[in-house]
Amino acid sequence: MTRHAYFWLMLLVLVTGAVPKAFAAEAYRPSAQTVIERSDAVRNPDKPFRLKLLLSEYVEGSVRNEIVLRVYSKTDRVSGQFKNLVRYMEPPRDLGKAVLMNGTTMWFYDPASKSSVRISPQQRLVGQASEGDVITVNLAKDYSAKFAGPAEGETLADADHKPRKCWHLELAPSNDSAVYGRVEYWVEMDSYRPVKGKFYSDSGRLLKIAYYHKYQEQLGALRPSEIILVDAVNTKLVTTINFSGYRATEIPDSWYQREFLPHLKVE
Amino acid sequence: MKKWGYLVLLLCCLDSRQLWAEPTGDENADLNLIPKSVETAITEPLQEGGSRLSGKAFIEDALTGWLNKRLLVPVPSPSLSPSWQNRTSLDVDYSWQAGEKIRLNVSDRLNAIEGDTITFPSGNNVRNDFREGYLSWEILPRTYLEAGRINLKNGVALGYNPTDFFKPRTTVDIASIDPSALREDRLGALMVKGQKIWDNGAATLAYSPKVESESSLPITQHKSFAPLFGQTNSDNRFLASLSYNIADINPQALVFFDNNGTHIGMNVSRVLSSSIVAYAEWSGVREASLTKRAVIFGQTTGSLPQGAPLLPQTAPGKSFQNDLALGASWTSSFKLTVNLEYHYHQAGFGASDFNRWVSLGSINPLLASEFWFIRQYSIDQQEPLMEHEIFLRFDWQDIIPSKLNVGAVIFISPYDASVLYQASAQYFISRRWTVGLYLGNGLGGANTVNGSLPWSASGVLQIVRYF
Repeated sequence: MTRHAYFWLMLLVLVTGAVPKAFAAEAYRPSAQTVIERSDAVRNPDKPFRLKLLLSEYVEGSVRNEIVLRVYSKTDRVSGQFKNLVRYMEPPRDLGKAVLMNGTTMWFYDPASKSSVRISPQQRLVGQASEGDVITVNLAKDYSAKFAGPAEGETLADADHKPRKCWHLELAPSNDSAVYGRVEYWVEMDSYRPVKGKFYSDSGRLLKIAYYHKYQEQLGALRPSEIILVDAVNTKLVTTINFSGYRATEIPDSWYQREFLPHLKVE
Repeated sequence: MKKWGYLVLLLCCLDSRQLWAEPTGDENADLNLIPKSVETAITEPLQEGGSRLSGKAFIEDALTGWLNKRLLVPVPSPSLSPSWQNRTSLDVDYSWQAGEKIRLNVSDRLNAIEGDTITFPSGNNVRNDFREGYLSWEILPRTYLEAGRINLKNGVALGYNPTDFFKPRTTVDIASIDPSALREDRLGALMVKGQKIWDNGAATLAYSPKVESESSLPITQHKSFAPLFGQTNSDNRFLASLSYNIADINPQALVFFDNNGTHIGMNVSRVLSSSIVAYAEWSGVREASLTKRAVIFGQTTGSLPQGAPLLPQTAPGKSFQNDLALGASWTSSFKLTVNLEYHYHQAGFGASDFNRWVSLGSINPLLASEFWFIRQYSIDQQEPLMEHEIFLRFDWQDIIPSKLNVGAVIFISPYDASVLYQASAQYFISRRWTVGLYLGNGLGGANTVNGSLPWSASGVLQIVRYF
C-alpha cells in the first residue's frame, strides 16, 4: 500500500467511522431545558382540556384505596404554567371536595363546611399520590434543567422492562411553585417521552419514584396513560395513576377563582 | 504519517467502546419496588357522562359522653351538663342539574337523639336540620342568581372568622360539643344572592329578609321539624363583598348591615414559602359589649327578666369594636399541618370581667344563671367569650397510609393559661365505613376560663356509613 493509499484509507475510516459517532451525540443534543420542554409537550396537550384520573393505592401489592378525580387544565397566558381545577368524585366521603391551583394561589374547598381554605405548595404533597402528582405541570416552567448522565445518554429499563435510550437530567426549582426540592428525570432520546422520574424533598430525601408508561393516542399525540408512583420513604406503598377521558374543552379563566369552586358542575 | 495512524487508532478505540452507556444497575433495581400485582393490573377506562344528580348521603351514629364536675359557678339547667347523648343521623347533600344553567341544591340532616337529659319517648327525640335548599341560575356566564336557604360563609381563618357575617345563630344544638355537628351542621339563611365572577375577582350581593321574630337560645330542644327561621332570619340583613387577586394576597372586602349596625371587614392571605401560608381577617362595627347584647337578646326573647343587671361588663353604650384573626399554617414534609392563630374580640370579656363573673356567680344563683346565659349566647353567636384567645390546630394525615388521620384543636386562654382541647382520630375502615374518636377536656382551675366549663372530660365515638 502506497503512502497515499494508506492516507486515504485512514481518512475514510476517520470520516465514516469513529469521529461522527464520537461527536454525534454532542453535536445533535438539544439543551437540557429544551428536552424538558419537549417532554412536557408529550405529557400535556397544548389546548385546554379535561380528563378523569383513577388513583389506585397499593399496600404491599394489594389495593387499599381508590380515588377518582376530574381535572380541568389550561395554560396560564402569562406564566406559561398550567392552571388546574381538581374535583373529587370518589370515594364517597370525599365527593365534591375541590382544589384550585393557579401558581402559588391554591385553595381547598370542602362542601361539608361550605368553605375554602388557602393551602401551601407543600400541602399539595399531602396524601399518598397528592394533588402535586396528579395535576398538569410544565416542569420546564418550575425547574431549570441540566444533563446529569453521560452526554451520549444512557439506557434505562422502562416500567415494562424494555430498554430505552434516555437523557438523564437533573432539575432544580426555579420558583416557589416547584413542588419538589430536586428531580432526576429520564427522557427517551428519540421520542422525548418521559420514562422515569425521581423526586426529592428540599432536604434531599428521595420521596417518590415515577414510571411513565402505557402510551396511548390522546388529543393528537401519544401520551402516558399510566404513571406508577413508588413511595420511596415507605416502599410498601405504590400508587398507579390512570388517565382517561381526555377532552379538549373551553375553560374560562374565571373558573380559577375561589368563589367559583362551589359552582363547579358535575360532569 | 505515523501520527495520522495513531490518531486513527485512537479514534477506533473510542469507536470500539459502546456508544450508549450500559443501564445503571441501581436505576433498574427500582423496578423491583413495583409489585407484580401492579404490573399485571388491568384498568378499564373510567366511564364518562352520567347522572345530573350528584351528592352524598350517609348514616352517622355519634355517642357522646361527658364527665361532669363541681363548678364554682353552677349551671342553671341540667341540659347544660348532660352525661351522655347519642345521635343517629341520616345526612343528605345533593345537587341536581335541572338544566344547562339551573341547579337545585338540598342539604338536610334527620336526627334521632337520646340522652340522659332528654325525655324518652318525646318529640325531642327526633329533629330535622334543614340546612340548605336553593335554586342557582347562571343568568349570564359566571353570573349567578340564587334564592332559597343558603349557607353563605366568608373568611380565611380556621378558629374564628370575624368576616363570616352570617355565622350568628346558625348552630343547631349548642348543648353538643360533637365537632362534626358543629362544623358541618350549620343552618343557612333565607336569602337572595347575586354573584359575578371575573377572571381576577368576584363580587357578591346578598339580601336576607326577616321572616320570623327572634327565637330564644336552643338550650332546650326545639320543635322537631321547625326550620328555625327565628334563628336565621329574625332580622333584615344585607351583605356586599368584593374580592380581587392582587399582589398574591387575595384580598376580600366586605360590608354588612344588620340591626347592630354597619360592619366592615377585610380578609387577606398569602403564601410566604412553599410550606407556610399567612392569613388575616378583620372586621369592625359600632356595637355594645357582649354582655349588653346578650342581656338585650335575653330580655327580647323572654329568657331573662326585664331589668336584668349588666354584669360583668357594665358599659351601657355602643362603641367601635374590632375583631381580628391573625394566623399562619405550616405543613411539614411528613404530612403534618399546624395552624396557629391569635383571636382578638374587643367586645368580649377582659380578665377583670371574667373574675367578676366567677366571684359573683359563685355566690348568687340568679347571677350564675345570667352569666351562663351570656356564655351560651357567645357560643350561639360564634364569637369568643374573651377579648384575647390563642388557637392551635394540628392535622396529621396518613399516619397509617390511606387509613388513619389524627388531629387536635386547642384553645388557649392567655389570661390564665387554661386550655380547651379536643384530639381526634379518623380511621377509614373501607371506602364506605369510617370510625372517628374525639376526646376533649378543659384544663385549668375552677376559676379559669376553660377550667370553669361543666365537664372534666368528654368523648365522642362516631361511626359513619356512606352510600
